[in-house]
Amino acid sequence: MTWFADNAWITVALPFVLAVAVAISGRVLGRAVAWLAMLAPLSVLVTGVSAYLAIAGGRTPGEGSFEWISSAGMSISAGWHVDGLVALMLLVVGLVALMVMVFSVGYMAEEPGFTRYFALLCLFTGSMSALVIADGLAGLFIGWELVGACSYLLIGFWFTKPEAAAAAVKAFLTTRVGDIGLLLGLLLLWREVGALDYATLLPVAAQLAPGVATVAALLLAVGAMGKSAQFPLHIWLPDAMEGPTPVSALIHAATMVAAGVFLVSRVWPVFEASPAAQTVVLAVGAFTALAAATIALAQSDIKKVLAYSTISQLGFMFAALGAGAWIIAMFHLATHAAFKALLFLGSGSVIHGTGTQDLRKMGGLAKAMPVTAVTWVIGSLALAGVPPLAGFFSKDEVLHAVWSSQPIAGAVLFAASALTAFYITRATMLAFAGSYRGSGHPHESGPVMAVPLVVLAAVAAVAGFGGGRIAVLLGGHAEKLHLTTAAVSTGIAVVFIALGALVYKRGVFADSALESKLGPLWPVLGRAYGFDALVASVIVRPVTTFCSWLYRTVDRVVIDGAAEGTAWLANRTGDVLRRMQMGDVQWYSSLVVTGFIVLFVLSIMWQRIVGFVGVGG
Amino acid sequence: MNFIVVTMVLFSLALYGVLTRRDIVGVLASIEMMLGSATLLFVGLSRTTTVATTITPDPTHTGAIALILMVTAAAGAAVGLALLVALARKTARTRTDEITEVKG
Amino acid sequence: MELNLADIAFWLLSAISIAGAATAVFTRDVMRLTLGLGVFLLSVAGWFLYFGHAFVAIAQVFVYVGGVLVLILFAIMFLHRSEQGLPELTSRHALDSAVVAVGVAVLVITSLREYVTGQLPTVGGADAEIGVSLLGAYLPHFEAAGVLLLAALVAAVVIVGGEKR
Repeated sequence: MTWFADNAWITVALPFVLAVAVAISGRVLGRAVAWLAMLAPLSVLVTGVSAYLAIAGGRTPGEGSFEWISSAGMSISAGWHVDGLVALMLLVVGLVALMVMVFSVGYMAEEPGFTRYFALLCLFTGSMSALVIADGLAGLFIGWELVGACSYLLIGFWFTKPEAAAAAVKAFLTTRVGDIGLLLGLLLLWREVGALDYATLLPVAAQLAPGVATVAALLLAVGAMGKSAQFPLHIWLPDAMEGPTPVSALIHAATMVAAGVFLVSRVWPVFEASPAAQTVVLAVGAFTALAAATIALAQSDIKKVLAYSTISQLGFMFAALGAGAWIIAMFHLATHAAFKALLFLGSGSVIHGTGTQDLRKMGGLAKAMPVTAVTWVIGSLALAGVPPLAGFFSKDEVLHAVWSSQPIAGAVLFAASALTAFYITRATMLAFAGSYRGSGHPHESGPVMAVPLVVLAAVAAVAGFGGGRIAVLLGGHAEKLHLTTAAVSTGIAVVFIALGALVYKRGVFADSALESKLGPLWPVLGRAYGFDALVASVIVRPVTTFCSWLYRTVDRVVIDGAAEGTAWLANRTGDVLRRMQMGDVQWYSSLVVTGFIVLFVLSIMWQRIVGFVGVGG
Repeated sequence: MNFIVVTMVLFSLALYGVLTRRDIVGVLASIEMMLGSATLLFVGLSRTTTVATTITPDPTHTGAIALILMVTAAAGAAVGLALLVALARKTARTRTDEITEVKG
Repeated sequence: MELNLADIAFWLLSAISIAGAATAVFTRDVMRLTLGLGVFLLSVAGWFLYFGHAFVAIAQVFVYVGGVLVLILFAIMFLHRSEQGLPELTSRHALDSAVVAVGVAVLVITSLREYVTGQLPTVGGADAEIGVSLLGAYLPHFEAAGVLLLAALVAAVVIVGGEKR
């Protein structure tokens, strides 16, 4: 066991090897490749456990490093480093990835791209590990881009579907905006510090000039916001739901989107040096948490509800980061990973059972799908923050930290958590209560899908009690339960769950009731405040117009013209030069003699020059 | 004006002939004249008293070298004329502007 | 300007050789071409004499006038039948060929200009040295030249006469 803690590189190497092995052996092994692929998250999970045990036992896990880029005056090393933060992330990634893979065996059973799917999941697992265990921002950035690429590939898994292909491109491009910020932040830190590895970088972060620290922190935050789908870079995540649902659970709920939170926690000293950047992060997080929660109210697609819920919960984490409580943010990350992965897998089970994602066509599934219903309810209550489930503890700490740091933001988060309780109750009621509104007969998923649900439900139920351990693991101390906050938030949760249950007792008709109450606001919420349309008209359309103009003028006329012109010129030149080759031996002789004269003159001039300069023999 | 100028005038005339004459016999004759001019320049330089010894041939050997050059030129002429005759017999062409097989 | 015998010989040889070469190059008549070539070759023999190489001069007369010139005469007789007209001399490349030819001359004269003003060659035979050189230091060259000549003659025979009709 301890071998894994000291050799965390295996969590990158093994999944990458497995990705290739799975891709190659898919034809031979058939559906059994899934079990081969599961070695990847298993290695991550075992390494996480091993590292956790080592750190809890007071031992420092081994690390390694090699010189990666060496050039005049610069050297970038790549290596791995395992501490409490890494151990926590490895546990989260390993557990969720393993559960998702098991679930996928059932969910993707009929899928022709089965092998490709599992190879990509392996690739993603390795990439996420690379992001996590890197001992510097250079290595993190590579993992960061790799998970982005895997995300692109998996969102576009059904690439023959135009929406999926478009969503993949949108996700890729939107996160790219954030990645540019991250890259600029890296370059700035490189210029200021001359190193990107945490061991060198972080201790000197406090000595950065305040302006530099603020700019660097903000640039890193832009990267984190892109990855973690924070306003205004959140627009890609709802569209990313075009991917297979287990992928949404793994990448777009539990791990990759949490990478932004991980990044900020990782380089926390840089943010600590800049209160201004913390305030920005706090504001962005709080705003996103509330706005996304309101949007989640009005979504009729079950995955869209969860997507906006994820954005909202990531907003909670960002708000905690902005309040200076990165340990609490990481705690919420871990619990959120458990219950949101559970909810996504639950929605996957529902989609698998009913064949639709539309909440309006569900209903009454509690009878048909009891396991899914029970686990989903556990996940919902955890999300809503009902004690003693995981979300209660972490959200309580987040709320307390933010409230005591910035009451306005705290109030916003309280409102957001009220909405959270309401929208998840709405989804629950629409899907599982009442009577079935769709066609056909929904059926419970098989054990291979039920087991991950149960495991994750168990984790989501009890993970909250691990808060103290996680805090200690991360180098903090266990927080006491803040009774006032806990009481208030629990009260809010219960009230709004009850309210939601009451309103949606009537099923889908409650939507129209709510619609008439909210008036024109309802469709606005349904369209996510029209932010997508705004981006499309303000950014995308001008850019595409400009690009098509570029294509028509610069590319077609100038560049193609230059290329074709070159060919034309060569052709004409050849035509002209061909005439010189008239087969006239005497003409050739003239040229030979002319060449002789030229060389002779040149050699004499060369001797003069050499003689004048005074070099040479 | 001395022999260097004279031999170079001869050489240039012969070169001009090589480059312009349309009959192959004329070209061959011009080539022979070029060789003769060059040999003359060579021999003349060896006999000049005021020369730096670095570039002039050893005067005691020039006679022998001139003979060898002569023989080489004669051999060239013999082969060249033989080729000319063979060409004329084969294709009935004896003019340089008719022989354009290497035209591009 | 007082002329001595050597100067007279120099100018005379210059005039004859240039006249012969010019005739050979510019004439349209093949017989005049041959004649001009002959004059040129004989004047070269004269130059050898002027430079004090009596033996080389004699060899020049034997080899060129007696050998090459006769060879060319035969070739002309063989090729230029009466129905063929005179070769035209207007070349497309007259001008550039002239430039090239003058360029070479200017180049060589420029590079040898320190000797252009140089003086008369010492006159005096050294014919015995030729034999010593040919059978001494230049023996390999001599032998090679002999082999080359043999090969050339055999080649000429093969090229011209080897073809069976």
